[in-house]
Amino acid sequence: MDKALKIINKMKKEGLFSTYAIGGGIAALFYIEPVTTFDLDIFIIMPDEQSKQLLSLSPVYTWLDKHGYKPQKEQVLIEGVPVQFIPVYNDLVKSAVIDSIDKKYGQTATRVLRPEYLIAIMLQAYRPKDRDRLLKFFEESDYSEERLHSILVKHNLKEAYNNFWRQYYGK
Amino acid sequence: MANKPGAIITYNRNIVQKIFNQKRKFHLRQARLPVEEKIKILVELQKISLAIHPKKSRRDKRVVWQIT
Repeated sequence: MDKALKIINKMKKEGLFSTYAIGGGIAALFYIEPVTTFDLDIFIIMPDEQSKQLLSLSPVYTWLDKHGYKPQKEQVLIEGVPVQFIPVYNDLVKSAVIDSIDKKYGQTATRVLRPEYLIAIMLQAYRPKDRDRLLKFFEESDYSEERLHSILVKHNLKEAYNNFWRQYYGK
Repeated sequence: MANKPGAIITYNRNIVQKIFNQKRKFHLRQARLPVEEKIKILVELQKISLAIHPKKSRRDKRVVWQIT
């Protein structure tokens, strides 16, 4: 995975996106026990000048194609890892990327969403796999309740959080 | 013990509680592994998942990561 991350870092350095952070199942893996997932989700914030125009990932895919990584529909195989580039699609995800943290994979630097934001995004998406992972986050990860509370309030997710706890823990 | 069903239940409850505690500790240990180790486990999980649920269409993009 470090080879894929090096390519992604190179893309950022060359200005394809202003910043990025690992999200989804691979981000979860930094905090909880391994769960099955098949792709590496990379949330990106496009450069300023481009985000004002109609959002397009074509510069990203053109660059990848030029460097020998052929996009297949919504994903692209980079050094053996299927990667999905996902532009931030709402305020919560945008804040999550901006507030992401530096991590290392082997010797390679990368950025990963904080556990509190991953919890909030899962509460927002609330697919069956999100509910499974939420249970693991609450039981296995070291998260800050204070930070989580502040994110949930800011993004109107307190009720979703309370409902989850009522449903799964009877509280 | 056979004449005291209640005692048997208590005894079993302790065993079950012990098993659950051990399982919980195992999951916590797994969660504390270095991420590089977790990726190795993930690749094995991907192999198992594809063996249990093989691809049924060309649209299914699931692949086992080819990483060293």
